[in-house]
Amino acid sequence: MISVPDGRGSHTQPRPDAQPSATTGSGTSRPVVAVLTTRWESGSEPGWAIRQIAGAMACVADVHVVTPQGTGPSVRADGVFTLHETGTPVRPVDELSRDTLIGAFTGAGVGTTGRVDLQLGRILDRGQTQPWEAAAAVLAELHPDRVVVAGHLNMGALRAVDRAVPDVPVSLVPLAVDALALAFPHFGPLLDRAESLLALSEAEAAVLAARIGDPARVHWIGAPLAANPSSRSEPNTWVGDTGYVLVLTDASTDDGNAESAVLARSIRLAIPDPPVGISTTDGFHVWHEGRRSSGWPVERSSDLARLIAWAAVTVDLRPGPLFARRCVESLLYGTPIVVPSASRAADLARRSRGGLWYSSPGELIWSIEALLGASTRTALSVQGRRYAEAGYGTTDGFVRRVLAATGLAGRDRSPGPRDRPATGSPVAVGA
Amino acid sequence: MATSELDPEQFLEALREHHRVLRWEPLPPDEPSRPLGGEQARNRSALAYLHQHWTLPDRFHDEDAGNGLKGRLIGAFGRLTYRVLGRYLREERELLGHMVRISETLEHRCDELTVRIAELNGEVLRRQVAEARNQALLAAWLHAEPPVEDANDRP
Repeated sequence: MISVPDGRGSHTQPRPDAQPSATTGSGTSRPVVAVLTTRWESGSEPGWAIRQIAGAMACVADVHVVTPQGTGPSVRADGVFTLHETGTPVRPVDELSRDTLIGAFTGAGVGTTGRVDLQLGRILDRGQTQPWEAAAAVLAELHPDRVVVAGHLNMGALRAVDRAVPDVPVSLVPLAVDALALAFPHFGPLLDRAESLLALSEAEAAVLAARIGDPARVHWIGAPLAANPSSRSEPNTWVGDTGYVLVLTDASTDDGNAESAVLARSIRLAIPDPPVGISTTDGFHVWHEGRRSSGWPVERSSDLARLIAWAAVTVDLRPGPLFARRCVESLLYGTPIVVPSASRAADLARRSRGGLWYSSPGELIWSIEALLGASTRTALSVQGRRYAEAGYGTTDGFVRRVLAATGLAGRDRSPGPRDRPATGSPVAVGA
Repeated sequence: MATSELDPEQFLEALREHHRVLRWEPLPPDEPSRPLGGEQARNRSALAYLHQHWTLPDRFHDEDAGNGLKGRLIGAFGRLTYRVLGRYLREERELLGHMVRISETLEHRCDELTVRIAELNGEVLRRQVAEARNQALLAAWLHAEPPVEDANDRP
C-alpha cells in the first residue's frame, strides 16, 4: 500500500544504526541530511520540487545540498541550506545522449530484459558518473544520517554514496517523468537501494509502485501549494471577470505553427464567446468575437494565479511533465482543467475528477464547451478542489509527509548550530 | 450548496457518443440588415457656403461706380458690360445653381453610402466570426476520431 497524503499507510522508519551528527548546545540532536542533486535551481518543476523537499527536511535536520554544478569547489550558505558545489557539472549534452540512447535501446528491445551488457551500461553512464566523483569526498566528510538522491537516473550519485557512506539510508526522489527510462533495468539498482521513494503525484506513486513491486516503500508527498486569497480579490485587467477560457501554451506569439499555437487558434475560433485568454511566452492575448487585445506576458506566478482564479476553465496545452503544477494550482482555485490525454496532468484530472482530457482537437473543443456549462463546471470544480486540497493544499501536511517518508518524523525541531535564522516556512524557500 | 458527483470518464464517453452523430452543414446566410435611415454624420459647412455665395449679380449697381465724372464713366462702362454679357452671366448663374444642387445630392448620397459601408463592415466581421466558428467546428469534427491504422499499411 502506498503512503498517501492524509497520513494513512505505512511510513518508513530510520535505520537503528543511523547516528545523529549534529548536537545543539542544549544537547538535542539534529540529524544531518545530504541532498544529492545534479542541479540546484527552482526554475523547473523538478528543481522546484527538490528545493521544497529539502526545505521541509530543514525543519528538523541540517540539510546539506551536494551538487556537481558550479565553476569550482565551494561551500556556502543558501538560505537554510549549506550548498556544496564540486564544480564538475554534468553536461546537458551527456544527459541528452543518455536519454536518446534509452529511447533507442528500448525501441530496439535492448536492455529491457534485465540483462544490460556492461558495454551498454558504460555508454549510458558516460559523462554521468565522473562528475559525481568529487561528491564522495564531501559525503565522507559530512557523514550524513540520511542521503536523499534526486532523480532515478542519477547513478553517479548512488556510486558516490556507495563509495563514501555505504551504510547510510537512502531516500530517492525519482522525478519519474519518462516511463521508458523508469522501466530501463540499468537504473534499477538505485530504485532497489532506496529505502523510501518520494512521489510528487498520485500517478507517479502508482507508476513507481508498479515498477518496484513494493508499494510500501513509495510515499506520495504532494507539493506545498495553496490558493492565495489575494488572487481572488481582483481580476486581471485585460480579461476581467468575464468567465473566460484561459489557455496556457509554450509557444511564442510569432510561432504560429507550434502545436500548442495551432490548438490555441482553434479554441479562440471555435469559441468566440466568452473571451479566450491565451498566454504565450511573450504575451497575453484576449480574443473576443474575433477581436484581439494584447497585454503583457504572464511572468510572475501571482499573475498566473490571478488569471487561473478568475477563469471558467484552464486549458493547459503543455502541462508540466512531473506533476503538472499549474493544473494543481487551478484545481486549488476551483477552476476545472482541460489537458492532453497523454500527460501526467491527465492522470491528475482523472484521479481528482476535476477536469477533462483530450486526444484530438475535436475533444478539446467539446470538453471546453462542456465545461462552460455551469452544472458540469461546478461539479468538477468541487471535486477537483477537494482532491487538490487533500493532496497539496497545506504546507504543514507536506512537511509532515516528507518527514515521514524520509524517516525524520519525530525528530527535534529546535534550531541546530548550523542553522541560519528562520525567515519563513519551507514553502518560501526558493519560491 | 450540494453538487452531484460527476465521473469525467463517463462524461467524456457520453460527449464522444454525442459528437459521433454530429453532421456538419454549411452555415446558412443570415438575412442582410436594411440600411439605417436618417443618420447622417456629415459636415454641412462647405455646402452652406455654396448656398450663400452661388448667386452672381444680374445688373450693375450705380452706387458701385461712385460720383463725379469718373463715376459716370464707370457707370456707363458697367451698364454697357452687363448689357453685352448679361445672357452669359444669367446662364452661368443657372449653371452654378445646378452645380450646388448636384453637390447637395452627392453629399446626401455620400452620407448614405458611408452608413451602408459601416453596416457592411459590421456584417462582414460578424460573418467572418461565424464562418470561422463553423470551420473550427468542422475541423474539430473531422479530427474527432484518430485515423484507424490499417493492417495492410504496416511495413
